[in-house]
Amino acid sequence: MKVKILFLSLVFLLSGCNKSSPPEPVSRTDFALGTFVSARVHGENAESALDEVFARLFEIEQLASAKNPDSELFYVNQNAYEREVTVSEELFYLLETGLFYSSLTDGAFDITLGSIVELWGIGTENVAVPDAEELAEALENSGFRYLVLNENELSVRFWKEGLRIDLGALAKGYAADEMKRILLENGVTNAILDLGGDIITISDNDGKGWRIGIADPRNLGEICAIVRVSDKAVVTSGDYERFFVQDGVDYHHIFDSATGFPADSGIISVTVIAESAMLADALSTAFFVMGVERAIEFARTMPEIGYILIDRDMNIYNSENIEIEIIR
Amino acid sequence: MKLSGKKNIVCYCIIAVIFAASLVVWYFIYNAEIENPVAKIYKNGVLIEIINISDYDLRFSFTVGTPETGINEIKVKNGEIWVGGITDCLVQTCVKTGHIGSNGRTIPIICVPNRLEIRIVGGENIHELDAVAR
Repeated sequence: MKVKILFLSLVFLLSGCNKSSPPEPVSRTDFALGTFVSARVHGENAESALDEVFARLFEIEQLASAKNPDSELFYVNQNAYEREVTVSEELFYLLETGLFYSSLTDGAFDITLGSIVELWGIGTENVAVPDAEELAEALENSGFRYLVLNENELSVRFWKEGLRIDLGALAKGYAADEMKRILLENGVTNAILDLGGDIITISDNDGKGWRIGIADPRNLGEICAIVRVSDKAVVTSGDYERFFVQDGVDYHHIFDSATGFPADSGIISVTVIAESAMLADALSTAFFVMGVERAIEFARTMPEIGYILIDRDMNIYNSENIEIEIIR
Repeated sequence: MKLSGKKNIVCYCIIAVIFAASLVVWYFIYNAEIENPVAKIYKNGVLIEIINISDYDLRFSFTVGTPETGINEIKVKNGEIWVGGITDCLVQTCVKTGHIGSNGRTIPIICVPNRLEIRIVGGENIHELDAVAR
């Protein structure tokens, strides 16, 4: 009897040590699309899948950068007013999707603000509030309605000489979707990808879901909410990501196509949760420009997406279709 | 199988040591002071708020619930959290639980009528995050 008690006591004490440990995930981090990209992947082919994923990431960077003189987009921006430019299927797909989102959001998201982005110089050494006349001219030359795509010829044409395409608010999302596609094709069953704060997940993390913190826009390093997601992308746009200060005024990098100035809608952070990271990327920018009321109204037309909007007073508005914990 | 008297004593000693060790572990888990305590608030079993309660030097109050489900008034100050009041409840168990948090008390505050629970947690990666969207 005593031996039994002793045995049961030991079993009880040691029971916590008897967990079989799951296979270790493979992690990798690299710098691409102007940010750190990291991946944590479970699965038999994780290593080789990650090789393929990162190679693909650099291909997309080469395709969609508006600043790289060797990119296909750069060539389009330089020539599409003079003549019709035939592009690759992939770039055409990006432009077509970007144009669709621009139209869908009535220009709140607009891929043709390249001239305005260039003029403000955010992210470069020449960052400054532009001259009013130059800004008015850039604004005059911008607008998705001046971008014409020919599906049969896979060609692009600009109707305004100064029009420039910028895919900055779309390319990261597209890259994230591509990374996910490649991982799934390689049999990866469980993964989380972080493209400079754009998060995309595969599966439900063994039933636990993925716990994603939402950055506190006014207290960097802290989070103000947590969402639990499965197989979804979580993309945040905020006024704190890239900005500069001139004469005591903060200027951020999300521009309003109506004014040519950084959007001043009262929102300081938007998070969109969707199946597609590209859609989440576009809508997070659009909602930022729209402001709380318009964004919520718009989101009602797309019940499959989730959102978290934070205004200047740190009021948090979230859709009811997400699992969220607010942190005070 | 029968054990001799000496083996009996060894067995009793080992059991006593295991029991004592368990008590020590239990004591440290449930009574050790927690640096930067965080309160997790659950309503109907669902986590609804996480509060860094050590962030508040001045008293901060808020309510959880609705008039239909009952309202708990929750207060926070200097790393401690407590329930200040509850509507329509004669028992007031949650109020009587008192302050928990940095004072070392980690017993959960539970309000059965309103299905409310407040737990204290601490340590690194307190939110158990997989990533941060920013």
